[in-house]
Amino acid sequence: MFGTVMIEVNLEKCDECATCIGVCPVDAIMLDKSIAVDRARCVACGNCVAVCPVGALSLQIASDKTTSDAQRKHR
Amino acid sequence: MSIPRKFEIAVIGGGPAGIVAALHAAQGGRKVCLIDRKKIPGYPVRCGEAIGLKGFTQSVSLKPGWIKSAIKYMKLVSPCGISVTVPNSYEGYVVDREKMETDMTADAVAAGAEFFPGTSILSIAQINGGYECKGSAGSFSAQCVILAEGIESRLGRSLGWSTNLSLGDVHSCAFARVAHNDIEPEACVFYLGSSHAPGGYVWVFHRGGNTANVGLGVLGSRCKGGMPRELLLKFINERFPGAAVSDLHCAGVPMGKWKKPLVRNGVMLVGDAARMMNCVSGAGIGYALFSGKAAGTVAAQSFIGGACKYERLKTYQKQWASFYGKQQLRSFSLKEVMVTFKDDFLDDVARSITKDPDGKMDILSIFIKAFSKRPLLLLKVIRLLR
Repeated sequence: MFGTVMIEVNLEKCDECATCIGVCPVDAIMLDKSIAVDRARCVACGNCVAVCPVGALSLQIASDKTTSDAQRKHR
Repeated sequence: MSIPRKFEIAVIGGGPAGIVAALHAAQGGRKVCLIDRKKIPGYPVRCGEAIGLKGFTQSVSLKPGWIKSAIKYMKLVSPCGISVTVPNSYEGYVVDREKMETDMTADAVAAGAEFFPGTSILSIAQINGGYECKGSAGSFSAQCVILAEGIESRLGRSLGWSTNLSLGDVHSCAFARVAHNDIEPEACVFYLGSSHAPGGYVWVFHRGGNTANVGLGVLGSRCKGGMPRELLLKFINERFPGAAVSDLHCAGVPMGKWKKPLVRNGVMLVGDAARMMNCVSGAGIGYALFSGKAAGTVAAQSFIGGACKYERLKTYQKQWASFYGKQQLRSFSLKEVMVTFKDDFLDDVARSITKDPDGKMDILSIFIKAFSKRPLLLLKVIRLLR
């Protein structure tokens, strides 16, 4: 079964330091009221996950069904 | 659609670089706005708060109320615990950045700048006669824009700057205020070693009384999510057991080369957003203040008869390049070598220095000692510094 890799943000851990934005190669992360990842742009390279000082970001593998659910919710 | 608020110069980002830029642009008689995502200037502090005297005197008159500790010397602690004190190696201060930025923002407002706290700017676009900066709380237009966004430097990217950092060019940092009776007064102490902070170091900067800013930076390419926070708590627990810990925050510190060009049409990059950071010491406040002052002053002077002459803005890059530009590039080259140092090598150097107590104890002598053990490394450094 195929799945999609996507970045999950734990907003309770996040300190809004924006280090993830600085290392994102495709400008997929934004900080307005809180950190948000643009899933259409994200290439799941994992840079942001690695440098997050508090471990607030993680790569999650979602099945196709879950992804589309999440995207629907996101819209 | 709301009509954008119109200014001559828009400064985006209210850290030290942005505030000083707005202050000088307003003092130069222009209609200026200072826009910051944060609600309170300088809060939360994401910094060790140490700044050399020279960094201040170039750009800002230091107010006594900002000083938390007058630093007299630096101390380096090798991975196995050998400490090397470098007397008279540092003339500077640990400052209260929240107070400093609050005061400087008040100065900028008194000079005529309009301050918009709690306001995010999410995109920037060139329009007829300048730029439009859009955010969720409205938009702003200006002929000239000074980008002082810090580590993220996102808007600059959308205008063509490649400000995204590779993992080898960033430190992932965590820090806290620590109160403990073992804090060394009037000192900046650095702990080296891969067990403390892979590819980086721990710093303990005295902040008055028995308190210090304790923080660490891990090189991005050796970091795993959450590592800086965990290592910081481990260090505090081991070195300062039972300490009172508060204000735990984190940050990214750019460790790349400053971004040429600093000016594109009517847009200028300053401070961390321009990747202006001493890559060896992690010092960035002095660079930020200098670049903010230079950019704000030049921007104001580039208006002739109400129109901003973009060609004139380039003077700012010349000022930066001749004052700090080369020093910053040298620090980058040195960092590239220093991240290759292994723990046992650092211990060897520390041992050879302490065996020679009458030897000269300045940073240069320590470097020479370090490299005399590895002549090939010295050649590499010389090549890099050219």
